[in-house]
Amino acid sequence: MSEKRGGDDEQMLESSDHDKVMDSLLVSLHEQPSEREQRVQRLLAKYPQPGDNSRIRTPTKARTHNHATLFRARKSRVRIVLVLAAMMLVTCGVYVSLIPPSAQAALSRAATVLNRPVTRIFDVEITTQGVVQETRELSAKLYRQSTERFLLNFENARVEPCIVAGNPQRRWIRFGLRTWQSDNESNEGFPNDVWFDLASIRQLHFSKLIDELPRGYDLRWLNDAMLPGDSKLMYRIEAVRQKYDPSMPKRVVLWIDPNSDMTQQIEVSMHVADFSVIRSFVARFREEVPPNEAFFQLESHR
Amino acid sequence: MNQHHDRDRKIFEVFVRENEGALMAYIRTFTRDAQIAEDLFQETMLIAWRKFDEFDSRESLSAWLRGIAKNLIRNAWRKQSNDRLVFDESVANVAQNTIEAMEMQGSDTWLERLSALSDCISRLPARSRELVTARYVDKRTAEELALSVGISAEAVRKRLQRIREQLADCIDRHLGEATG
Repeated sequence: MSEKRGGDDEQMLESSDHDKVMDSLLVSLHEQPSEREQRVQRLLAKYPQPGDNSRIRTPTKARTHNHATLFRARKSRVRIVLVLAAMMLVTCGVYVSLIPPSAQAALSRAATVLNRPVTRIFDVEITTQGVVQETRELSAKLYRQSTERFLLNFENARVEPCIVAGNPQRRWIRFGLRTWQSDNESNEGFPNDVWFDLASIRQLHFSKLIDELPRGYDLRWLNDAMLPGDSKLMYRIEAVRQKYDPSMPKRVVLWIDPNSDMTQQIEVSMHVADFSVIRSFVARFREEVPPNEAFFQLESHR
Repeated sequence: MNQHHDRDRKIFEVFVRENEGALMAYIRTFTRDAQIAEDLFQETMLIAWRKFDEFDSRESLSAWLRGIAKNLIRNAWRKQSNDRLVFDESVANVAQNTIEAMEMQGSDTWLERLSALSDCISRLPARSRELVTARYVDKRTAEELALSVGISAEAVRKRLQRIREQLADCIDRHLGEATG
């Protein structure tokens, strides 16, 4: 742990703000990998063993969030269709780039439609690529009754349909009949097969995401795009983040029905640098007979 | 139970590895004592992990960690009986802004984000580069360098300070160009 930096301590008091920062960055740049590794190992050693009463309670969000719940594009065949569709559109010359007023107007209408307090049904293709587990693909239907109430129905996972409710401000999330709160001992029984958390739900507040796009993104507009796997012609808006922000998606692609202004599909790619955010997902919105409203009444979140 | 514990521990490890570089750089701005820096680093990481539910994912995780570290540094500074740790709000702001600008580069790792600094060092005159190497790679003190160069330790410190000023200007230009 000894380091020959103490001799300059008195000088530190006299140096400028920028000098102190630069000195620190120089130390960081020239630090040996072994030094960093030892520092990491010393910290990891403080993570208690099972049964240790002082164990760190992994927060709900950390446990789920940090498994990098990934909602990923709908497999390679869809990507191929996407590529072919894009090529076709470019060939046809219908690609009109950078028409922000039209794009912004479409986004505004799409956000308004999504904000309506009616039940929405989303087909979501989810790939969980855990830090410590193999890649798993899940198909789910996500029923949203309001911006804070969700029903998740996983088709190929050992998860019963359940109500999901979350309140980012008050930091709680509810699955089925149980509520998990931050720093709550009951978090031990969190339904790990689901890997949903507050942040995921926040990401699924699509209307909020759409609201953000005109502010920090370059928008590219395509007014006659074919939705992959579908024959409908849509508005396609591609939003690319102007400045790096690990908490915001680096790229969002929206497919909006020009007749109803209803968003049909959203593709979101997050920065990979920050493991604490979702990497990517595709959600396709599909009109279906809404679930029995009584189902939502099973739970009334307070 | 053990399975959960193992998994959580591995997630914690990822959390630490992803963030330790930038966080240590921030903490070191306030202290040159390696033990104090590491103690603050560990405390920040453990507190952040316990309070992860309070993190708003719309914000920068790195900035959130720096916020926790800043509070710890300020508290430790008030309690200490010596000057091994010096907290200053303006230094905190400069450190925050500089590290944030480096993170805006979009690289995946902290070392990649430091590549702008590497570029700036490579543009220094040869003698300055040698001094940087001696100080930061070989970790020689100003007194040791003074003996080998044949000038006073104070002169070595001033020369290093001028080099760091040059590097700071270079970094500012570099980051300014990158972020537009």
